[in-house]
Amino acid sequence: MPSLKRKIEALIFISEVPIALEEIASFLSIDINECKKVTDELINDWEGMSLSIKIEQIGGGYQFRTEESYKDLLTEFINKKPFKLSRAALEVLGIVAKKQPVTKIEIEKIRGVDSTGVTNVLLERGLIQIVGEKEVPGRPYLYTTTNEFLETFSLNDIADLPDIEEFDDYDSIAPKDNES
Amino acid sequence: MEHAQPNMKIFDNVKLDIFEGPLDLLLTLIREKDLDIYELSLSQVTEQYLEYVELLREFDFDNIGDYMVIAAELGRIKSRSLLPEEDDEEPIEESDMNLVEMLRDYKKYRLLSENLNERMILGRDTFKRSFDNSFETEVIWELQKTDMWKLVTAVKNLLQLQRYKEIPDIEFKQEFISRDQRRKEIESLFQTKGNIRFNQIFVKNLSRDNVILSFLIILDMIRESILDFVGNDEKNLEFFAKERSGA
Repeated sequence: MPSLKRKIEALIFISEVPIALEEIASFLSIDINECKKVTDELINDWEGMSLSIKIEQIGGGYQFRTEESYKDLLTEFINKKPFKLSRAALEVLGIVAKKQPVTKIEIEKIRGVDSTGVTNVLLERGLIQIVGEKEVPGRPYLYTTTNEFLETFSLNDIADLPDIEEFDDYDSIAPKDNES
Repeated sequence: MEHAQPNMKIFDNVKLDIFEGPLDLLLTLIREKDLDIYELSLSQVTEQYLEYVELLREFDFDNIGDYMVIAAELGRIKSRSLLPEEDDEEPIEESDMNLVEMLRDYKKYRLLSENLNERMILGRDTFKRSFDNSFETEVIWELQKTDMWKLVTAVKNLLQLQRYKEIPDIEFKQEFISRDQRRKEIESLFQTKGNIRFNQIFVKNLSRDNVILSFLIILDMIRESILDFVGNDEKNLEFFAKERSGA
């Protein structure tokens, strides 16, 4: 009879998106606290074996991921033309992440520049989504970040991003990385 | 700013969304001078800012209006700073825009975006299982490293050289430059060599229009992820062709 730990492991392994603790507990008909305890043990077990993969908490769930030291090998293996995200796109993502739900006009007010193209790229990539319209004249769309955003940036929760006011202390902006 | 009016129509309307915008430009200029964000710092970079905007205007650049709004505000701040202190009888009209506040606020989000970039990015630093065998859905992420303002600075410095500033007395017959032709020329440079220096593309005898055309082609190629460039400052930029899988 497989142990509870091995069952949880198998569920995380076959899940296409991060699987939530509640889902595991309810499927296995076990208490959520017990589920959490065993899952934490499982994470530690994997961590302790120094393998190339580990279990991470992402977007409120669990997911198997590769260790960073394998990134060159895997990039080469996958051999795809990279999807490029511009600095502008990252800026808009940061603004949406912090101000959500937010309209394009509010984004543009912070950036001082039209952001239509960038917003569309992020929508296409599924990193942001339209969740409704703001109750103001013109009824502009409201944007939020998606679960895919959390997955892409390895966040368990949007609140795990640093507080925006932390960045007020910096005397000057970090030099741009222009090395290849 | 009184150079010969270039023939705008040979350049398509340019989408320069790879630039981060006027606030980023201002922040870059302020940072280069090691200044903090105060009104006084803004006055000190106004002239340079205007030089950039003047250049961007030549490209029939689609977001230029956003740059002009900031330029107007800079002009207002500057003229106010030139007024003698006691002369507050007729103050210059206050605007709704608080550029210092805007810049400080913008800077926070700029730093946040850099923070995002440093995270473990799925498809760049870490990978998950792919649920079909072909990796069809797997995306490799790449964040743009290039500091576009360095490239603009290099082009701006080039166009400020005497040879581009002289306005010819006689009207020259407009030399027709085909964008496709020029692009092929530039592409062929990269077929033979690895890194190409800035002045190997922007050679000495290039006409002013050709400089701008070449710049726009390079922007296209950067946007298409064919090219990128490195260099610590605008004086030693080197372009290189990016490896494309399956090509």
